[in-house]
Amino acid sequence: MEINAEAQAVIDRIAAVMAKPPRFNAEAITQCFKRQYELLV
Amino acid sequence: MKMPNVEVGKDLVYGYKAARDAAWGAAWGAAWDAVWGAARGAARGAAWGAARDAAWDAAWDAARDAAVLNTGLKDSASLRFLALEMEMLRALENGLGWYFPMKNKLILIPIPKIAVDERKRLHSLEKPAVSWRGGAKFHFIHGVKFDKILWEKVRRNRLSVEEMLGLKNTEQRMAVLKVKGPDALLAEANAVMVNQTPSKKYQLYLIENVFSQPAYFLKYVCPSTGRVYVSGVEPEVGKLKDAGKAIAWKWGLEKEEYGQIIEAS
Repeated sequence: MEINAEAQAVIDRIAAVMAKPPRFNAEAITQCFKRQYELLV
Repeated sequence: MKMPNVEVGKDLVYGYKAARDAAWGAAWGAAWDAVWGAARGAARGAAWGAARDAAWDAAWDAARDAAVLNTGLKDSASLRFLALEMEMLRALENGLGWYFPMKNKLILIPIPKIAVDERKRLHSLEKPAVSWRGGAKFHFIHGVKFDKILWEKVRRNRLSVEEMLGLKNTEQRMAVLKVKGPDALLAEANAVMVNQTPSKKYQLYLIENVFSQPAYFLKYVCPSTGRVYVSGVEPEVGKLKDAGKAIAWKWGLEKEEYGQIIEAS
């Protein structure tokens, strides 16, 4: 099964995080969850 | 539906504990309690276990995003799912390791600092291999967990030969051997090779004046992993001074049964 370009781009982003974990940004993460809640309700 | 308050937990141990405490107040608290009672103390293990595998919640969710993208599905349900998971990818990129969604609050746990060896196993002789700023720290040597006191002794080369060879945890003994080097360890113990198989892959050593009685150790190369082991041999077997019999004893076989393997090695 081939991996398409969109999926590969996500995989690359995950790999980049694994290679060098980013600094924790609580505010940015909170905004991510807020957007999730907005999508859910 | 109102989003709960967000709390930043100091480490994964805190997250598990908070989840447990919150569950106690829930209707299914008793069921949780029964499980927790059996698994008490496992929170610490779970913390480092999860970190070891880098099986972070956020990373796992983001990986699902990639999987769905690869299907090429563009229906509304798939696109909605993708949008949800894309937020987890963004959260991961902002340092989120784990999250605990609970009734009244959402606990966020940062990705810990992690140090690994050349084989990507958790490892450091300089600092904790897994650590959260202001939170829990876990010490590993070549993927094997050590308590801090033992880890300090290993890294400062202050573990005696008796302590090294007496480690009951085989994985810890192997990790220490890798740091020290089996030959250096045997040399330090003034070990004398008393016998070896014709292939020289199995060598029987005698160590005196370290333990309460003369002790025998077998040095051998694992045929499948290539790792060099140094492992204790029952004194009565060691006294036979036959490396072939010693390895056969180790595998619970008679020498004749093990003979073909010895000859082939």
